[in-house]
Amino acid sequence: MKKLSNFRTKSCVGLLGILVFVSLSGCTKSSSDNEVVIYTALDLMFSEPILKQFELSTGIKVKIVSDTEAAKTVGLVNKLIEMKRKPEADVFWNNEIVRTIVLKNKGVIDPYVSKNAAEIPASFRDKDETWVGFAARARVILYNTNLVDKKDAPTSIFDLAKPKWRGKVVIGNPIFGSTSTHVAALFVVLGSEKTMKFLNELKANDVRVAPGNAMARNLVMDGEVAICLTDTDDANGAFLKNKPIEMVYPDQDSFGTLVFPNTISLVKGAPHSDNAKKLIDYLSSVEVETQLASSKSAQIPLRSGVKPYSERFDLKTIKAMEVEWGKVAEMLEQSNKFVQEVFLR
Amino acid sequence: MKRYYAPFAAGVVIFICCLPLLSMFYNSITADGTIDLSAYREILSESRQQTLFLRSIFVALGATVLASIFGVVIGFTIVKLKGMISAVMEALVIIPLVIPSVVIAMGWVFVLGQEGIVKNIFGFTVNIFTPVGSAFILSLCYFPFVVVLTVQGLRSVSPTIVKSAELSGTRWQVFWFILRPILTPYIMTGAFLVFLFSLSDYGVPSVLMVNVYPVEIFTQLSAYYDVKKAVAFCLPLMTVVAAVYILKLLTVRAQSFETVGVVAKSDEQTKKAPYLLVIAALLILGASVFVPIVQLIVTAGSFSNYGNAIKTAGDQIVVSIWVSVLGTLLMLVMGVILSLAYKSLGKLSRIWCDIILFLTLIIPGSVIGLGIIFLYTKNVWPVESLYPSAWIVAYGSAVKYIALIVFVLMAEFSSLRSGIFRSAEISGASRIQIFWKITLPLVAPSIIIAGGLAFMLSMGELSASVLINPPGYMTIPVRIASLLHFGEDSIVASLCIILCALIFWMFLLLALLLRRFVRVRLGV
Repeated sequence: MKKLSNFRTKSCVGLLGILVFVSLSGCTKSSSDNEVVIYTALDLMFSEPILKQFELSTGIKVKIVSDTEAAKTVGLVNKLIEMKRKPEADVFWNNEIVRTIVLKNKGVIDPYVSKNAAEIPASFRDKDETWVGFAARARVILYNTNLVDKKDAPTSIFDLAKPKWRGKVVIGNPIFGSTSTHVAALFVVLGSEKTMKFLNELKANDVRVAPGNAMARNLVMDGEVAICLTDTDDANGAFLKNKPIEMVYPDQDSFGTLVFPNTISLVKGAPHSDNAKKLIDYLSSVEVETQLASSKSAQIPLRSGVKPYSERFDLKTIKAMEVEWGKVAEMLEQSNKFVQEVFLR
Repeated sequence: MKRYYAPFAAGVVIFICCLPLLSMFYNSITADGTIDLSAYREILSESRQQTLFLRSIFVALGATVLASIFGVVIGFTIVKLKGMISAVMEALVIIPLVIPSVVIAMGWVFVLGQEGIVKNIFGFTVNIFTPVGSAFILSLCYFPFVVVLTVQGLRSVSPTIVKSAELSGTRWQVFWFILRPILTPYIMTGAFLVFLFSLSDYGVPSVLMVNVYPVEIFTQLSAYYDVKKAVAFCLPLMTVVAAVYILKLLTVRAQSFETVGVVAKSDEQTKKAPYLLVIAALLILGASVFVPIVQLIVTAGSFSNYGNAIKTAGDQIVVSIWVSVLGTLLMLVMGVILSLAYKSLGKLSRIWCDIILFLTLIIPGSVIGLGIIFLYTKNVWPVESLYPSAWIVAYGSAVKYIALIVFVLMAEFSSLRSGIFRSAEISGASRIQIFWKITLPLVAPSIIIAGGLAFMLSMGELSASVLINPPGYMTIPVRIASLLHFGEDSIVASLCIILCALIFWMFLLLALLLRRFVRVRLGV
C-alpha cells in the first residue's frame, strides 16, 4: 500500500507540475501593436516565405491564419463573415477572386488603394477599391499523353462533352473552388441556357467528378483518367514531376479561358490597420508578383514587365475570358444550385 | 457526492460542451430576434432529401456491418493468440484510428486504380467511387472500436463458466448460449460507435464523391455560406442517432457504459486460434493497416523527406502537441466530473445525458467551430475568455469528443461500489482522503486510457480547428491539408507518419504508466 502511495504521489505531483505549466502557458493571449494578422487561402508553401520576408524587412510580426484548398476555403471566408462584428484579421489574401467579392457584398472588407496597384490592369482591380488582383491562375485542359494523342487533344471545353471522350474526363467538384468560379463565369459569358445544356451533356458523357482540382490532376497524371479540367498551378505541379502530361488553354479561338487572380483586401475594422496597409502595399508589389511567378505554382503575372515562369504561363499568349467579376459572384449561387442538381444529387 | 451536486455538475459540464451547438441552433431558428424556421422548411421541401437520407443510412449501416464482422474476427484472434503476436496485433489495430480517414481513402483510390497493386497483380481495377466503396473504406477506418470492445468482452468472460459449459455442451453451444449473450452488448456498443463515426465522417465520402449528410453540410457552408441550412441539415443526423441509441437500449438490456472495462482473466488465450480465423484477421489487418502505412512509407520516400517535413511544419508539430495536451487535460477534467456525477443520476437522466453527449459526437466539426466563433463575437463566457489562446483549440476538441472520453471513463467509474466509500467515511476519512486513497487508484487505469484517446483525437482534429485556430496556433492536420493541394505528397506522407509516431509514442508512454500502475496496485 505504501509502495502504491509513493508511486501515486510521485506520478501525480510530476504530472500536476507539467500540467500547471502547460495550462498557464496555454492562457497566453499575446497581442501587440507591432503585428499584423493575415488570413491567407494561398498554399502556405508559397505564402509563408513571402510573409517572412515582410517580417524581416519591416520588423512587423506577421501572424498567419491559413485555410486549405482541401477545405475549400470553408474556414477563412466563414470565419471572416462570422467575425464581422469583432474582427481579428487585418488582411485577407485570397487565392481567387469570387469569394473576395462575396465578402465585399457582405460588408466584411474595406476600400484601400495601394500605391503599388497602379500597374495592375484595371480588369483585375475593383472599381470600389476593396480588392486588388495580382499573380493569376488560368483554367486549362490537362491530358495524359499516353492516353491521348496530341493531334486529338480537346481544344475547347465543349469537346469534353463529345462521345469520343465518354467516361474519360474528370473535373474537380463543380460547386467548390475554381471549378465553381469557372462554371459561374460560363453562365455569365455564354448565358444560362447554353451553359446548362453543356453541363447536362457533360454529365450525360459520364464525366467523373473528383473532390478537387488536385485530385483530378492526380488521376490524369497517374493514367487513371485521360483528361481533366484544372488550374495552371496544378498542371505545373504535374510537369515538375515529369509525368506524361500536356496542357491546352481551352477555347482560344472563341471566348477564351478563365484567368483569375489572387486578391488582397483590407478587413473592415482591422485591429492593426496601419500595418495592414503596409502589408497590402508589399503584397501588391512587383517583387511579390515576380516571386509568385517564379515559384512552383507558376502564377501568371498580370503586370507586363514581370517575367513568367515559362512561355507557357505568359498572359500575352493566353486569350482570357472577358468577365465582370461582380456578375460572376452574383451568379455563383444560381450556378452552384444547378451543378449540385446535375452532378451531386 | 451529495445527491443535488450530481445533476448540477453534470448540467454545468454538458452545458459548457453544448454551448457552441446551442448557439448554432438558436442562430438557425431565429432572424432579427424572431423565430424563423425557413431553413428547416426549405430542407424538408427538397425532393432529394429522401435519397440523401437513405444514402447516408446505407453507407453508415454498411460500414457498421462490415466493421462488426472485421472487428469480431480480429478481436477473437487477438484473444486466442498468445504473447507478443497478440500484443502487436492489439497495438496495430489502433493505427486506422490515427491516420486521417481522408488519407486512407486516397490511398485506396490509388491501390485499386490503374497503377495500383490490384491492377499490377490481378490485372483489374475496382471502382470504389460508390456508396458501397465508401462503406467499405469507412469500415476499415473505424473497425478498431469493435475490436477493442470485443477483446474487452472476451476477457471479461469467466473461465469457470466456460469450462463448466464445455463439460456438457458442444463448442457451438458454448458460443451460442454463453459467449454470445455476454459479448452482444460489447459488440453492439462498438457497432454503435462505428455507426456514429461513419454517419458523421466527411473525409471518405468527399474523396469518393458520395453525397451524404456531412458532405451536404460542408457544401452549405463552403458553397453557399448558409450556416442556418448547414445546421438544419444536422437535424436528420441527430434524429437517427437518438433513434439508434434508443433502439440499442431496447435491444441490449445491459447498459453499454457499465459493461465495458470489467476485466477478468480468461483462459480463452490458452486455446489455439483456428488457422482460418488467423488468416482472415491478417487479411483485414493487411487491408486496414499495412496498405495505408506502406502507401505512406513508399510515398514519403527517402529519410531526407522526413527532415524536410519537420523543417516545413516544425512549428505546427509543437503547437499540435501543446494544444493536444491542453485538450486532453480539459477532456479528462470534464470527463471525470461527468462520470462521477453520472453515478448519482437516475436512469432516465442518464439516458438524456447519453443522448445529448452522443449528439455532440455527430455534429460536424465545422458547425462546432462556427458556434465557437459565434460565441466569441457575442462575448459569451467561457469562449470569450479563452480566445485567442491555445485553450480555444483544446475547447473545440473537447466539445467534439467529450462523449467518447466519458464513455471510456464510465467503464471504470460505474464499477465503483458505494460500500467501500461508506466504510471509509465511517472510519473517519475525509472526502479528499477518500478521493486520493480510494477513488483515484481505482479509476487511474481508465483515466490513463481516456487520456491516450483524448490526445490521439486532439492531435488529429481538423474540421473544427481550421475555423477556430487563432493566429499563430496552426496544427499539423491543418498544415497537412494545406500541403495536400499542391501535391507535396512526400511531405504529406512524412507528416502523416510523424503524426502516427507521435501518437504511438504517447500511447507507449501511457501503456508503460498503466502497466507500472497495475503492477504496483496488484503488489507485483
